[in-house]
Amino acid sequence: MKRNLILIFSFLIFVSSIFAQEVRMKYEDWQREMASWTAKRDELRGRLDALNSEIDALKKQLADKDAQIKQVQDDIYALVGTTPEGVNEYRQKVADFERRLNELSRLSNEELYERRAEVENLYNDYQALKSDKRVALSEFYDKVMGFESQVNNLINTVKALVKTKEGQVVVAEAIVKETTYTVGTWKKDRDCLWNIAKKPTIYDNPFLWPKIWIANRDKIKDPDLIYPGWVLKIPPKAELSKEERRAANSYYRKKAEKAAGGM
Amino acid sequence: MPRKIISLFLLFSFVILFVGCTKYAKQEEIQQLNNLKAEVEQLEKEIKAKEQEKASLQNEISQRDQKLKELQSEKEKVQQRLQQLK
Repeated sequence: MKRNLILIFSFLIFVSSIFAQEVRMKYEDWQREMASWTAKRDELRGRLDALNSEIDALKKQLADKDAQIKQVQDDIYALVGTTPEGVNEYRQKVADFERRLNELSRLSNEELYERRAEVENLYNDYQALKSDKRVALSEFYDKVMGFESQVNNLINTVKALVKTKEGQVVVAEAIVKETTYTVGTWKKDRDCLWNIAKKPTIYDNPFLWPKIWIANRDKIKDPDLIYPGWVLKIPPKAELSKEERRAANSYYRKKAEKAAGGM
Repeated sequence: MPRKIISLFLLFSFVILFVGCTKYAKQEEIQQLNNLKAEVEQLEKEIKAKEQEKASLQNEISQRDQKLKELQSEKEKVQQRLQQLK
């Protein structure tokens, strides 16, 4: 009996205390909770204030960095004497030049020969692009300098193209790079330095014969005497050098003296 | 049996008395606590947003530092190239 009473008593206390907790809060607990949450709120307010200060400082730092970036950018523009608009204009020029270069590079020799004036203009435009201060900007430097070999190849090829009597366009190899020529017989080939230089596939210009003479001084002691079977070096087509001109003048002088002596 | 009922009645009365004598927080006080909790929750959200903003600003600053470094290097290169082009 007693045991039953104790059990019922405990049960009632338990049920009533649960009921009270669920619906109502003890004042002491409220006070404790208030103190704990107030402390938490105060700590968070402090953190928020600190964060706001840090963010303000970071924003200021960012604005300073932007100003520094603008200053250096302006310095760079000043060095090459341009503005952002000027850079855009040069970018457009480079793009346009690249398009023309690629277009001309794809042409056949015949087409190139017909459009050689365009190639020459392109070459001149390249010199202008290269001498523009804006080329010093990294965006353009490697690209524009990289065009050089392509432009040179193109202009050299165009200079080397010759039209034969039959109307065919051929590359005079000797003009592009040093090559060799095997002397034929006078009877069959009419080979002398003058005639060799005159060939469209050599220089297409007989007055350049001293180039062949000077390049083959080891063989040719007298430019009037060359022998069938000799393999002559043919230097690339170019204006006569000082040495070649001097040698040619000396030859013509001796020839004139000889002629005058013979008379 | 009546004794048992009386005992139970007394017991029940005691329990009710015990529970009824405890001091409880008033409704306004509970509301005050709830407001405080809501304020803390709001502050936590704000702090989270501010921390994200701070991280984003730090990231932007490091990007600007990188850009500044690149531009300074570009300036030096431009000066050298201009010397070469002269």
